Amino acid sequence: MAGPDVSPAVSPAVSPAAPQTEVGVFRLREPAAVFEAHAQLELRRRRDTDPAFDEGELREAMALALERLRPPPSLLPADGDDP
Amino acid sequence: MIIRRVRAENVLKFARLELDNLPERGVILLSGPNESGKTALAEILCLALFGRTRTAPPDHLMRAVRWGERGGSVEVVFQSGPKGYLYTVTRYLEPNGEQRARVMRALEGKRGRTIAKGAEETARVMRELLGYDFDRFQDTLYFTQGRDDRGTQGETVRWLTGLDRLEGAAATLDEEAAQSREALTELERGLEVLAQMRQTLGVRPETLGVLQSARGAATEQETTTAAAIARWSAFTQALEERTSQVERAGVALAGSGVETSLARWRERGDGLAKATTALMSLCHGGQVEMDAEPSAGPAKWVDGLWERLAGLEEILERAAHHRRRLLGWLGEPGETGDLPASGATLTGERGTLASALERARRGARTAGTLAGVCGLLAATAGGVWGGLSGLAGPELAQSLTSALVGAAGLGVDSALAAAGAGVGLTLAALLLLARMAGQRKAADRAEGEAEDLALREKQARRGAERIAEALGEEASPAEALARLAQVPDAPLGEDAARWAEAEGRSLVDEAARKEWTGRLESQLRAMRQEVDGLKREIAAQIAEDEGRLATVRREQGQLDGEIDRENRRRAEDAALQERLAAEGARQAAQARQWRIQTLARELLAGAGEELAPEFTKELRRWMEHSAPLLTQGRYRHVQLHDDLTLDLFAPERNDFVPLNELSTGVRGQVLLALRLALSQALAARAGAAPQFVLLDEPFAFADRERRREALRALPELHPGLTQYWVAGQEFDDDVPAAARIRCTREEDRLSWNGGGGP
Repeated sequence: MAGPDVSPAVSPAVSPAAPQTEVGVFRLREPAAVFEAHAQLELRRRRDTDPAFDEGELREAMALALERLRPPPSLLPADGDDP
Repeated sequence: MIIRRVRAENVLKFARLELDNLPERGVILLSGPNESGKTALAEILCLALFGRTRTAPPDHLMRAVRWGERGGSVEVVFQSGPKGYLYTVTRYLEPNGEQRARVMRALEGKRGRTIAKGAEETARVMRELLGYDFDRFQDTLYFTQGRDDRGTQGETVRWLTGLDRLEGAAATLDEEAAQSREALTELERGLEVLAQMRQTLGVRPETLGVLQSARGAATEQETTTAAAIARWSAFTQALEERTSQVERAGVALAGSGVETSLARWRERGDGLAKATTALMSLCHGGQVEMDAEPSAGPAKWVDGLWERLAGLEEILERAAHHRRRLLGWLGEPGETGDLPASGATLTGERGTLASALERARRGARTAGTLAGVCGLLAATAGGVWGGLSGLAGPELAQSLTSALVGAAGLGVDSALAAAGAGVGLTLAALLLLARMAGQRKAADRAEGEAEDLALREKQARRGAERIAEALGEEASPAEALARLAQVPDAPLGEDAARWAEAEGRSLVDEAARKEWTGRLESQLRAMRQEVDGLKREIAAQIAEDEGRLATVRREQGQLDGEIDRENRRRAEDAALQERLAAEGARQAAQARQWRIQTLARELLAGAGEELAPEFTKELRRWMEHSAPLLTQGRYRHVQLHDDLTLDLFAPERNDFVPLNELSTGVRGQVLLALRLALSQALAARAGAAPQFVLLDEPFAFADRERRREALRALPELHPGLTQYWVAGQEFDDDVPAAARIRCTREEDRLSWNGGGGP
C-alpha cells in the first residue's frame, strides 16, 4: 500500500475569494517513507554532530524499524491463480 | 471498493433483499420514511463486509436476524483494486449464533474461486481487501446522524496518518527492547554468577606448573630411588654370587692337599684370584660407593700362593731347562735347542769313544804284530849272530855271511851287525810291546769311558724322565720335588729342598698346609662375615630407599590427585571462561540489539512527530475544498486543531469561530466535510482505488436548497470517492442520482435491478 508522493504542506493562508476547484488527491505519505526520510536526516545530523557515532548501529536501527513497519504478508492468492 | 450487488435473506427488516447491477459511479439514493429499511440496508452492507453491524456486534449477531426467523444470510459483490477482480462475500447466520462465511474472487464474467472460508479467515481477507476495519469505516465512510465520532476519530486519524503503524512498530520495539533489557540484565546476572564461580574456583595460573614441577621432582626422585634400589639389589645379588664364587674357589683351595697337583693349585689359585678380583672389581666398580674390600684376605692369600708357587715354578723352569739340555745331549728329536755349553752330545761322545777304542785296539794289534816280527827278527839276528859267531858251527856262519853279503851287500863284520840288529830288533820289539800295552790300556780306558758314557746316558734319561714327571700335570709339588730330587747331577734337588723347607713348606707339608689353608678358611669366614655385614647394610639401605620410594610414590599419588583436580578445575575454569566469553559476546550482542532497538524506537518517535502536522495540513486543505461546496460557499476557511476540533472563519465576524457556536445545520455540513476529507484520506490510505461512501441521513438538518446543492456537489467532491450511498427520507426528483432505491415501511422484500437514475 504505497502512499502518494508528498509535497510540502499546503499553506493555510487561502484567500476567501479564491475558490479551490482542483485539489488533486489526498496527499498521504506512507509511514515507512516518512520514517526513512526522517532516519536519513538523523543519519546526516549525527554524522555532522557526532563523528564518533556508530553508523552501523543507526543503519541497523533503520532496517529494524522498517522491518517492524512492514505490513503483514498478503493473505490473497497471487494474481493469475484464478481459474 | 465499489458495491456491485447486495443480497440478503431474513436479515433485519428484510425477508429478501436483492440489489443488482448497482452503478459504479454516482449517487445511489436510498429513500423512504422512518423504519422503511434505509438504515437496515446500510447495516446489511456492514454485516456483509465486516461481519457485524452497529447494533449487532460479533458476539450478538443474531440480533441481525429478522425477527421470527432462525437464521439469515447476506451477500455482497464488490470490486476492489485495480485488477478488475470481483469479490463476493457471503455470510450465513446460523440458528446457534454462529456464522459461516466465505469470500470468492473472480474476474468479471468468469467462474470464481474461494479465497477465504470461515468467519475468521473471511474477516482477515476482508480486512486486507478493504484496507480498513469496521471502526475506521464508521469514522470515515459510514456517516450516520447521532453518532458521536469523538470516541474513535482520534484513533482513526492516527491510523490514517500512519501514526498507528509507527506507534505499533514503536510499541513492538518497546516490547522487544524491554525483553532485550531483561535478557541483558539476565545475562549480566549470569556473567556475575559465572565470574563469582570463577572467583570461587580460584584457579591460579602457576598452581599447575608448581604441581607438575613437584610431580617431575617426585618422578625423578622415584626413578633415582628405584634405580638405587635396583642397583643395590643387583649389587647384593652380584655380591652374593661373587662371594660364593670366592668361597667355592677358596673351599676348593682349602680342600687341596699336599697330593694336589701343581696344576690344580694353579687352577684353583686362578679361580680364587679371579673370584677375588671379580669381587673386588664389584666393590670398586663404581656401581655403588663403598670402601669395603671383603676379598682382600683371600686375595692376599692367593698372592701368598703365587709367591709359593713362584719359587717352585722357578725350580721347575730350571728343571725344564735342564731336561731340555739332557734331551739335547741325548739327541732326542725336537729337543736340540738346549745343548750343553760344550756342544757335546751323547752321540758325539759315543763316536769319539768308539774311535778311540778302535784306534787303541788297532794300535795294540799293530804294536803286537810288529813286536812279534821284531822278536822273530831279533831271534833271527840272534841266530845269525850265533851262527856267525860260530856258536852253531863255522860253515853255517860262513854261508850266512856270504848270503848276507851277497844279498845285502853287507859284509863287514856281519856277526856284529847281526848282533846289533838283533839287539835293535829286540829293543824295537820291546818298544812295540810297550806300545801295544799302552794301546791296550787306552782301549781299556776307552771302554771304561764308554761304560761311563752309558751310565751317564742312563742317568740323563732317568733325570729327564724324573723332570718330566716333576713337570707333569698331575704332579703335586711334593711329588715334583721328589722327582727332582731323583734327578742326578743337578742342583735342583737342593733348591727344591730349600724351597720345601722355606716358602714351599705349606705345599708339601701336610701340617703346614693345614695351618696355611686354615688361614684361608679363616679369611673366607671373615670375608663372609664382612659380606654379610655389607648385605645387611645394603638391605638396610634398600629398606630405607624402599621406604623413601613408598613415600615418594604416595606423594606422587597425592600430586597426581592434586594435578588431576587442578586439571579438572582448570577445565572447569576454561569452560567458565568459555561460557563467560560466550555469555559476554551474547551480552555485547544483546546490548547492541537493545541499543539498536532503542535507537529504532527513537527514530520512529521522531518520524511520528512529522506525520500529524502534515496530515492536519492536508486534511484542512481538503476541508477547505469541501466546506464551501457543502455550505454554498459561506464557509471557506477552517482551523483544524490536533484534536480535530474546528474553527471556521465566519465572514460576518471576520474571524474564526468554534464549530459549536454555529448552527446545527452548518455544523452538520462542516462535520460532513470533515467526514469526506477523512474518507478521502482513507481512500488514499487504502490504495487510492475508487471507494464507496455510505451517508445515512447526512442532510437531516440541512435546508432543502443546501441539501440539493450538496447532493449535486457530491459526485465531484472527491476524486477517490466515486459511489455515494445516501439515505434520506425523500429527495427531490431533480437531484442527480445514479440510482434511486425506494424503501417502504410495509414491504419486507426489496428488489432493485437498475433504473431509477436521473
